[in-house]
Amino acid sequence: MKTAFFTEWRTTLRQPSSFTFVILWTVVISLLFLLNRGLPQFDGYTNVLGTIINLLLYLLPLFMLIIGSLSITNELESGQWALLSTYPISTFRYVVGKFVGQLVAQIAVFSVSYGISMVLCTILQFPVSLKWMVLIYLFALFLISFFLGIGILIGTFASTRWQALMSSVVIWFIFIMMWASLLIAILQFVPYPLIANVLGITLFLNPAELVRVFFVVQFGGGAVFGQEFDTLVTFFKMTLSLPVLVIYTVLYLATVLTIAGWKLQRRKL
Amino acid sequence: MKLKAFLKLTILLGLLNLFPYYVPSVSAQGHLQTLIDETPEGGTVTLLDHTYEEEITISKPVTLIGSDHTVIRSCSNQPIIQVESDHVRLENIKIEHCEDPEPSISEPAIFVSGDNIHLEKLHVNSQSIGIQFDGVTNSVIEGGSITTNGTSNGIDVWESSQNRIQGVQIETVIDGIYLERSSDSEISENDIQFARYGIHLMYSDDVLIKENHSYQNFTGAMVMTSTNATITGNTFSENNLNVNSQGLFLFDAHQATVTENTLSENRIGINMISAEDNSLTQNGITSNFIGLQFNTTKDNLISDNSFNGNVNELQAVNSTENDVERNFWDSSIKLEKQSEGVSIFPYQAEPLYLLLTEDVPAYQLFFDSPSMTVIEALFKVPKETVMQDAYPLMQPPITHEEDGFQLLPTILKLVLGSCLTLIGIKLFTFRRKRI
Amino acid sequence: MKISKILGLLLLSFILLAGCGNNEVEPVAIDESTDTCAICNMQVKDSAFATQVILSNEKVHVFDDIGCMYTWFDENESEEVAAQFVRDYHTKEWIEGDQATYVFNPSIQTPMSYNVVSFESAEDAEQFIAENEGNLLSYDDLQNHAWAMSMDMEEHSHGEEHAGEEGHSGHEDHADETDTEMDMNHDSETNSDHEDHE
Repeated sequence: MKTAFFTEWRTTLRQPSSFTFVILWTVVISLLFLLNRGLPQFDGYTNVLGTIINLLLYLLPLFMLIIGSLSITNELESGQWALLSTYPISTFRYVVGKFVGQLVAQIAVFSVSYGISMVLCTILQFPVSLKWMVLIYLFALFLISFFLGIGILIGTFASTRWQALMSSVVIWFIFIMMWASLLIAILQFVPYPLIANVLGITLFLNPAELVRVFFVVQFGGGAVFGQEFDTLVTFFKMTLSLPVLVIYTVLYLATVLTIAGWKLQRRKL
Repeated sequence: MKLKAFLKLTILLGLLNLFPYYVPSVSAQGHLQTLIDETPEGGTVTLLDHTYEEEITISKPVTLIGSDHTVIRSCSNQPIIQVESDHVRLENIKIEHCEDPEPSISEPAIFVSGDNIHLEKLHVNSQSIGIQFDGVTNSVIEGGSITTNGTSNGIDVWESSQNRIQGVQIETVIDGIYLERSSDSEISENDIQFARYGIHLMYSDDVLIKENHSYQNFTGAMVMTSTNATITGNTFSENNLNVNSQGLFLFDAHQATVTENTLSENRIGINMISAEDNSLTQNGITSNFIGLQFNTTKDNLISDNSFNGNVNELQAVNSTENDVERNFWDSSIKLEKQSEGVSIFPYQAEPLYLLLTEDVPAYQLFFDSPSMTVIEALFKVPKETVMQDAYPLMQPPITHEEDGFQLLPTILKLVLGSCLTLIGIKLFTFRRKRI
Repeated sequence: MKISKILGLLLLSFILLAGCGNNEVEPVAIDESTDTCAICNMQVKDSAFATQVILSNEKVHVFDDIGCMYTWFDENESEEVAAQFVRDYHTKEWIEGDQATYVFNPSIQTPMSYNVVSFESAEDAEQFIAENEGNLLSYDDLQNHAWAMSMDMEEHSHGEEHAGEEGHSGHEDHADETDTEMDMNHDSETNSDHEDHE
């Protein structure tokens, strides 16, 4: 596990692509902060914040899914996996090692970019509040963790890099772009009183939506979700909810990685 | 030093005594009701720094003036002060109900049924309604504060007209100021917080609501079935705690003039349902979740308003027959039309979300979700059924003030930013040398 | 194999749900902090004036005044209504709209001033009228009732109103026990004040 972890971490960060990503994220985040120029500084949820959150929701999951899935298929295709499978190492530990390594690398890339953007925006006096900065960063961290995990799962199912890439895009499209349309289409067949409950359950299946709703509540926007979700929103407003979200993230990832490990084990045979 | 002050005071008091009083004055000590009864009509009762534990009824024109620590306190289920006469003046008194854990008090702290009453700087802490007017005219409530146990109205005005409520601080109430069937009144410069409805008009015409600050309530101000209200210079902000919150709510309101108000950080800035012939001009509508929401409205004028930073600026259904033009929308696409200050691209309301959630309110969960944008792109609602601003302004008619420079957050941001960068770099270079 | 299992489960759940649908329609409790009247949008107080309509798809609309409910019926004739519930004026028990007896009296202050209240038994309604005046309305009468907020009508004389309220305050004990929160209409407080003056 340790070897997989360190190798993943170091090789990822040594690739020139990670430096490209640093530049990309720095530019994107700075531009997003720039959006708020000419507007009063607010702690709450505004259209600019909505745009920032939405753009991060478009970009981060897509990149993380692709990076996660490719990190597995790369080794499968390069034959490294065949070599590894001759060692008596459990596939689950291998997958966890890969995930944590990749996670540290991605967080490093994002943190550097985010830190630079923060300093830049503060010096240039963009009216972005501290609360926004902290919460957006946390929001991104959750997105990175969830979607890297899912990406790795996709990687274990894909047979080629090309397939991994395509599946990542499809999953991204379903989770991010089509989620509302899909649910609305399905929920037409659900009896009315169950709709709110079903929506509440699906929220926990799609981490993008869960994290989004959670952070909108943290920005003070809980009331927009309406009467049906008042209890959920009230819960999200409590300080206790952050540790619960962290625990949920860990459980979700554990499940995803277990399935990934199981799938790899089967491929080994 | 002390002696000097004492001397000054005695001299001052002595001087005061030299002036003959035109109205007989009584210094109150002992039983307040008796004192009031003994005071002739038009007389003044000066209260001491004392807590009077009783309820009083005022049935003749008198003036009661308290000093800084005058308290009238009562634990019984009766109005603490009941004003039955006309021309009564109460000033600078604290009026308190006892703590009432099991709600047994249902009477207001002050009950007024006379005319030409003047209540000034009264600090009311009630377990029921703070001040209640019933059939009162030409009266004034000015300054002071009102709190209740959170289950009653602060100022409750019923079938009363030509009254003025000004500069009162109201907290923890159901409705801050509630007017029913009370026309021709003025509500100005009040500060209302933690209420269900900050200001609530029902069946009350010709009311002026001016320069109030109503915040952190379910709803800042609510005008229901009332005609010709003037709402100007108010600030309705942070009314976003409840799932039904809004800054200003016009329901079945007619001919209201809403101008130069600031509506910020509310769930909905201005919500209009079944409202007709109102005019909304020169309001600053900033950072609300929904700036303006219309449902089944017509013949309203919406112009010269400034919409900034609202997550959703305009939502409307069944509202095409309104006059919407020359507003500034910060999210509209702008291309100037022959330097007329307006854009050639009309700005359109988004009706889809409202239509969708009207049917199934649970879909509000998709508010501002990236997947909602896809739906909006997929289902274009016919243009003629959508409310639009034909000539959006290029520049906001109202500009906001620049935020002042704050040292601490700036330093924190810099420190945090640098820390993140350093940690990131550390992760980059960690153990690299050993390989 | 897998798909058939999932389909089976879905089918089973639908059957179960359909089974539930056959049960009697139950009234839902009022949540004062989030429920608003479907017509006038005011927060609904958990008082004797609250009413509700349950559609055949189990969607619930709550109202703060019987008058609002009838406005809704007017505006939504095409909706399939499974049940309507009103409350007994004294006990606040939910009763089916068509089982209740109604009293119209312009001096009863209901949240939207439609001035109609409901009773579980006709005797209670008659007793109320004996004490306070008013017109007895059966469910059928109510369908033809001219819904008007008292504000729309000619100003009623003050004396008349007081006469009505005096009696009304006789029932105030019931109201007081439960009307502690969200007191938006002038029921108990105002009435008892009137009583005090007289």
